[in-house]
Amino acid sequence: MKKKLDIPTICLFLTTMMVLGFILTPIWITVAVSFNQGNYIVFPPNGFSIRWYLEFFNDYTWMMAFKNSLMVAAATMVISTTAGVLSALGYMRRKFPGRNLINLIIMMPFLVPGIIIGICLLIFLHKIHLSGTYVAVVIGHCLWGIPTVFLLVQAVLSGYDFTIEDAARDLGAGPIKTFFTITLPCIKTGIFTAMIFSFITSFGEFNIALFVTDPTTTTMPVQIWNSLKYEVTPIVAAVSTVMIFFTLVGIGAGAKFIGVNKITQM
Amino acid sequence: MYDVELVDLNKNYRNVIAVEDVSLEIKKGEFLFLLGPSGCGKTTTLRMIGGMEEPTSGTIRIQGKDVSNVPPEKRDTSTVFQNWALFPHKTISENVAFGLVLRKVPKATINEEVKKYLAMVGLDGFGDRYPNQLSGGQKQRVALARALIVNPAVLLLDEPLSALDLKLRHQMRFEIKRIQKNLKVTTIFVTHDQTEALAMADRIVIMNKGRIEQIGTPTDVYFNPKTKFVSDFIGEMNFMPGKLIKKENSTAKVALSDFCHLDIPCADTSRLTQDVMVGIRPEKLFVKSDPTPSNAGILLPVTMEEVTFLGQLLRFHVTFEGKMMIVDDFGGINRALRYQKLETAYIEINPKDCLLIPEQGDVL
Amino acid sequence: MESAIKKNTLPARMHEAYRKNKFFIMFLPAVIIVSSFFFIPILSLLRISFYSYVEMGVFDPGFNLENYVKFLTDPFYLQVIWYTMKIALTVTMICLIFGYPVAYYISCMTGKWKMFLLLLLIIPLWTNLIVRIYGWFVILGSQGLLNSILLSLNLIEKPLSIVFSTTAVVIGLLDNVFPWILLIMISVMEGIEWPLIEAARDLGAGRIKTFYEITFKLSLPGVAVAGLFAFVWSVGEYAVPSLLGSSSQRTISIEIADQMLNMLNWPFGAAMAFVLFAISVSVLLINNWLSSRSNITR
Repeated sequence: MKKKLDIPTICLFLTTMMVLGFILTPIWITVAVSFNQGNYIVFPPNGFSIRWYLEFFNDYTWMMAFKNSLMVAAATMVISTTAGVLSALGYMRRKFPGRNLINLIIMMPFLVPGIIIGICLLIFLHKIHLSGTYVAVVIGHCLWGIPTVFLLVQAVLSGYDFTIEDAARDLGAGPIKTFFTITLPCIKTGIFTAMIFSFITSFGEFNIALFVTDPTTTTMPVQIWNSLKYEVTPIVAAVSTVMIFFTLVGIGAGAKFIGVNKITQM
Repeated sequence: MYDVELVDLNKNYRNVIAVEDVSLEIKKGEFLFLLGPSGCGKTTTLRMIGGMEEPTSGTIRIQGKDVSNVPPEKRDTSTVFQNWALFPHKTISENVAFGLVLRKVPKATINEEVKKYLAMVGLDGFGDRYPNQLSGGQKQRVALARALIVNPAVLLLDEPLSALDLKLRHQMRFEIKRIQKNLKVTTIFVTHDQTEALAMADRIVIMNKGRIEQIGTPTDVYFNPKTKFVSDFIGEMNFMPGKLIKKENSTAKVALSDFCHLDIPCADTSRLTQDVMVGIRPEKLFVKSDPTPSNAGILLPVTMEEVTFLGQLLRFHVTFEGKMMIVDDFGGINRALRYQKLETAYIEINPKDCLLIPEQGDVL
Repeated sequence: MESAIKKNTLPARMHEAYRKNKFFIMFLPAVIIVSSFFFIPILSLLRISFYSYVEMGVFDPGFNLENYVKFLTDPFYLQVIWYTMKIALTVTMICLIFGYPVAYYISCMTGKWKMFLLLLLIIPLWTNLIVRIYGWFVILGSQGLLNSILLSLNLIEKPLSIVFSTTAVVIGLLDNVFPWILLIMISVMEGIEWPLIEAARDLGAGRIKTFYEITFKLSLPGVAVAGLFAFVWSVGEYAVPSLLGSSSQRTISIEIADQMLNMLNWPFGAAMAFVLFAISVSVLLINNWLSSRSNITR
């Protein structure tokens, strides 16, 4: 479409900027106040310092939560990527009876509010004596990680020609050999991206984690929630900025691997 | 012994019957075509031979061995896919070498063979490129080399030319035929393009709605179609409704109108009923300006509707008793142009060129 | 002869079924995880919702509907449900009204500029919600960005207190669903074929008329899908109302969390959670129906 500068276009442009501004402001402002010098959050910040980062890195509770989050996210990443990539490959390869049911089963946890998963797992894990363990959190996060990977790899596979697998089989490669010499190399960037985004999903997840963690397995978002319940301290800004940094690096890598388009297609 | 034998092959997808009772034997070194409209089951049949699909019932034998449930990697077949299915992350050499690498052939031999086969398909020096750097015709050649290098018992080609433009398609026909004859490899070629089949095939299998309609040489299926479908599908055919007047030993008298009767040769008149169809190819009809028959022909008075210039021939659209017919005239542009101005003319039919098609059943 | 020795015994038939459907193995890890840690827990949630409460953490495993009756008839909880619905509907409406033109604008763009806008969209999408809620504290707080701007412009005399109010909750929820809804609507509008639009203009329809006749009408099912998602995610959201909302106005999810974590009345919490689950699932089913319909029309 030709770009024309008329009144409707300008209105559309302004609305877009407004909405994007609305959803981006909380992010950049958090980054900005994290370098604040004073004891209270003020905007504009009074002076530049990294004291809140130092406090974060020297605080036992925060570092514990940081470590927990990293561990849980890493485990979630491995499990969700494996399960999600396999499902997406099976799902996209051909039409079969029950295809919609499979989609519904895998996507359901992602589509219902997170608190429901949290409550269910709270009750269920209590029954099987797993509550408060790392396993509990990882399980909860996989319920979100798998659909994330499933959707993302589907977007990646929409440009993938499955007949090359037929060709490999035809030339003498068994199913396992075909998977490792043909399928995997062709979609490896997609899989890396899926790993990154399942990591980010788990790293920032709150609604499930709140119900399945105990003080020893608290993750960062839960710790932020705990501290916000009492007061709004600038240390949270520093913690948040660290998490934003993780997200930005992840998105940057994903965009480089498979392009912005594929990421938004999911 | 045959190279490929199909016995009562069936394939159903849930309630859809894709292939029904297909039986077929293919001799060693034969170039066989599976021809039919889209959705006729030809590709499914090919994929079953290659092992990409499993038959619902029936037996597939390759060189005498039952391979019905053998996975594709353990069958001695190679396939060239419709979109060529080259591995995008491997170079052309690596693509071609793939089958040999899996067979643990020594590296030096592989390099030699790859060179040889790339040269055979006319792609020397392209080994280090990637598939996305090649044109459609070049990709086609790579796919062919990749399939042939493993020296398969049977080569399967699944509409390999349909994605190419017309000129290239004609050129590739010739090359595939040449390579096939040189290597003497048993080949099954799937296409919906009848000219491709007529031009290249040793034998053609015409399929419709999952069933085999006719098997025969190109001249066979063109001149002696066994079913109405084949007569309509191969080449062009005018169909005229007629009434049976009289059955004799080897001819049937058919009336196209009150005054136009044809004595059509017919081996078996027993199945004929009152209503019949008379089929005749457009090139077997002649346009005339005056009502004098040249030899054994019968003349039909027609109205000239339209004349189309098609390069090597002139095509007349005429109506006989309200029914549209096509007449092709190869008799030189000058002769043919004379008829262009006519409003009414005559077409000459030789009864020997006519096919008699009963209401039900096959062509007689 | 492999097929010759095939027998019609049960193991043989099972082996046959396995061989024909072995690609289902690919779904096994995902389906096992989701079934055992989502669908089975949902069932135990349903079961526990019929227990009755004795004292904190002690329940009588009977089978009665008292928890559901309490939740759906008690005026206090009815008010909670009403408040939750009201907020979710407000968010959905605002989201659609402002999201539609933005999605239209972005879907009409091409090239680098579009990629840039999409990038700006997926950054908040993947930034976790708690962090963004914190950002809203900074913006809406008494010494925050908004107040300092308004004060310096002399528009107000003393700082407004927006945090811990319904307004703050709506803002937080909007921030949460906006990126998702925009992406859904953009993908719907990109599915509308440009030749159609050109054809309409070619036939003499004006720009506004073309937009209404083609883009708007074709995108309606997609907009409905987006709206339903916005509603489901807003109804069930917990972090936003618990942090940005006032303590007197409570949503369903806050009540659920309160019963589960503080009151330790799990049967009642489970009953409320199951109602929330039922609402979400029915909306999703409507959604499924809508999107299959819009696929046919496209």
